Amino acid sequence: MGLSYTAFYVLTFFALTAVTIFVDFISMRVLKKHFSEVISEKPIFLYVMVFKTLAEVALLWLIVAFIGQIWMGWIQI
Amino acid sequence: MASAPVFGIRQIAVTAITAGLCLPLALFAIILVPIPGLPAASGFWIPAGFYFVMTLWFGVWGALGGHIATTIAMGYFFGYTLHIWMDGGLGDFIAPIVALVIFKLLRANPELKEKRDYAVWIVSVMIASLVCGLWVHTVHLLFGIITWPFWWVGVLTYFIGDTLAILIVGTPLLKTLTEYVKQSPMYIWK
Repeated sequence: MGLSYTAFYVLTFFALTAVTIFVDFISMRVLKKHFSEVISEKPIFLYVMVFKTLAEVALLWLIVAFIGQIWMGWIQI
Repeated sequence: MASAPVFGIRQIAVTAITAGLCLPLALFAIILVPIPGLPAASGFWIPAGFYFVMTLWFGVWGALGGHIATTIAMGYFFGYTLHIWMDGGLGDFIAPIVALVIFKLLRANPELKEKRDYAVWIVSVMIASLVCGLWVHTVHLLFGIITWPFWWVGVLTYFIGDTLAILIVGTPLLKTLTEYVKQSPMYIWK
């Protein structure tokens, strides 16, 4: 098979990360209407939610950027 | 202007998280989209999308996080001189503050509810990116780090690269998260 072990491992990790982010996105949408009451009860939830979302966006960017480098032929795995 | 900076655990957390988030992004922005002939420059400055948003929400603490991240990214890992560390880092501190001041002066809403808010957001980002590019490359030029032809290249690539990254990343973040962030006592627009 043409796919190296490193590529297989990295791509599996990326795929699972992307799926996790997607599932989290769905769960956040489902729970959206309860956010205000949770935040009023536990204010730290607000910061956790916001920083988690920012980190997820950053993760997605890093995945896209890494695949982009392979695509462009700049790196090989 | 931003509310008076109060120093506490929340402010440290916002600065630390912004810095921690922006550091890897800054590193890879320099590695992935380098500008030949310009030290520590990137044609798509993705971390700015994050620290601009954090600055619009939390004021100077977000900008400070961006400053720390880009100063470290431009310095330690690439072995540049202290001048390049400080110059680029200061540029990335000034830029979001410029956008914040424009936002405040024009009384725009970070929730981007109206067309006017979008217009102010786009214009403030463009002006801030231009100011950052002018600052960084003029200081580089005056210190003899770059030559005159590269001044133009630098200012133009900072203007385009920063503006695009901030608008692409920052706009959806402001639009979707500000309605929650405004419940924070640290939110500066109350």
